Amino acid sequence: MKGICLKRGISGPLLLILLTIFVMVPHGGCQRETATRCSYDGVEINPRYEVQFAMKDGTLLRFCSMACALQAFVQAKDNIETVLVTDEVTGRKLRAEEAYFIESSVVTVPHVNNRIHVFASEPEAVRHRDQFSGVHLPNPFVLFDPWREEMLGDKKLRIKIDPQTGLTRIIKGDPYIMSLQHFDPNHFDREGAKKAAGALLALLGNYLKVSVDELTLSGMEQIGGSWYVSFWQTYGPVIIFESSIGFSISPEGRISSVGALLHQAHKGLNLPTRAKLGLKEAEAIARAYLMKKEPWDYKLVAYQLIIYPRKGQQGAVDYYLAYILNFYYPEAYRVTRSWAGWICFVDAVSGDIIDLQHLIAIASCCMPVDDET
Amino acid sequence: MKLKGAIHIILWPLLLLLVPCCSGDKAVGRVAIGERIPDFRYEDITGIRGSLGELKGRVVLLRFWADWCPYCKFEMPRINLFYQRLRDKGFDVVAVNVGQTRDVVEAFTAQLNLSYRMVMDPDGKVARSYGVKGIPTNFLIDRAGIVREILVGEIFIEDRVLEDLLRPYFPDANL
Repeated sequence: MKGICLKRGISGPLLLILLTIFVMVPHGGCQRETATRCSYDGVEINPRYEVQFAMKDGTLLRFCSMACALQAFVQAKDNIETVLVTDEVTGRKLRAEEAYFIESSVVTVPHVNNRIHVFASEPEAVRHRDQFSGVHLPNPFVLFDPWREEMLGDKKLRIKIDPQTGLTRIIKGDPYIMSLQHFDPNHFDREGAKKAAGALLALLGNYLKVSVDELTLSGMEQIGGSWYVSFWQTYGPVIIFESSIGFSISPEGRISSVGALLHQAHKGLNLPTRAKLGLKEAEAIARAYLMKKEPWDYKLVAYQLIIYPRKGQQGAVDYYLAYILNFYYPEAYRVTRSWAGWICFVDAVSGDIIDLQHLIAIASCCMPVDDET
Repeated sequence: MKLKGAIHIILWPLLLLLVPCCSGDKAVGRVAIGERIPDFRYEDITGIRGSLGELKGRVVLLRFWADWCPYCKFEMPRINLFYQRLRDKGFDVVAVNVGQTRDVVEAFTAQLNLSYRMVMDPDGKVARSYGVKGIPTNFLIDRAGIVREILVGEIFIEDRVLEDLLRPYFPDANL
């Protein structure tokens, strides 16, 4: 809710009392009155600006404005199932995550000085924004706030948590997370990068839950005086597909931001790290599959044995030891296509096809050509 | 290694030899130099929605990339330096990730401490609509929404390239 300026305030305990009274009042004699009055300040609701909280216990809280709803949201969010807002153009109710929010100079509900407007249509939102000096706001009714703040010594950390896995995704330090001792940007090498990662993990191990032995360097580059370093996570000797942890180091040796896409769930699975299938077998399986799907004389341009985390429909992740095989279309066909070919994931133990994705090329001149061309 | 990524182990030495031929395509698919850039709507990784058309009046670098592409990766902080110098003077960057997930892009953005817009194109629809056939591909769009440059491949290998590209639009800026 940053950037939203509300003039009115109310104490937490008072708000709780108000909400409790509302929820506990029997849906009898009072219903006619509460149905059209704001659950926060009791003012009559103009349907054009109404916000509704559908609570987990089946009750409905109704508010006269975004301003009132936002005040109540802070206290009530843990018990909210869905937030519905109203498109002020049509009066239609829609879920908050589907709406466009604009803060502009126009006041809709004067007694709370509400200047936040809700639109179902993006063109309408843009029109209002441009006409009334507005700005876009992200959805302020996010039920799960992935960010939290913690102190680490005298440093304030902002930490973003993956809502599905609970793992740390981003750590930002204010003003920075740590300062590396004896850092010399002109003599920084692979060994230095690994030491820097070790120092960082020693400090942030509680959040990142990975040891430096599980990392292998994927890249390091000096740009504008700063060093940019990134690692893959490994399982034994095998890299986990699309895993990463990385950070930049300022010329003064300061690390202010860490990004991580790490895995934990595979550790209890006792996954194999040696393939039962040979590369040729895996390639033959993939080719046979592709020939059924789209028959061409594909060129295998790259392959790797990896741990492949495949997300299921409910967000659960299954892990496979897999070959990832990049196949390019033949040249003549490729020039007419946006995609360069296919990426095929073959289970290195069972030989099953796990996944198939389109492959986009690294830019034009770098595409491999066919042998005959 | 990520691999869409094993590509780079195999091809990198070859690519380094070939880099100079990567730039200066007159047209990529449906978008050509001198023509108006088609609009598209997006939601960035922070949840803010917008469209390219809303950036009219600003100079925009529209960039298609993926984190497994080694050139894409280390050009990003260099672009960020220019973005920080020029954003208050009317420069914007819209970086469209092709074919990956929001998780990957979020982590990548934090690793490189990037501050410009990151937009998702998980199924490549946007890239295809702009005729992108390889990454990185960059479109430089002037304040009137006209495509002025199409740059394919590793281009921003030195600061000088971005300086030369942007100086005509920001003659008074300290690049």
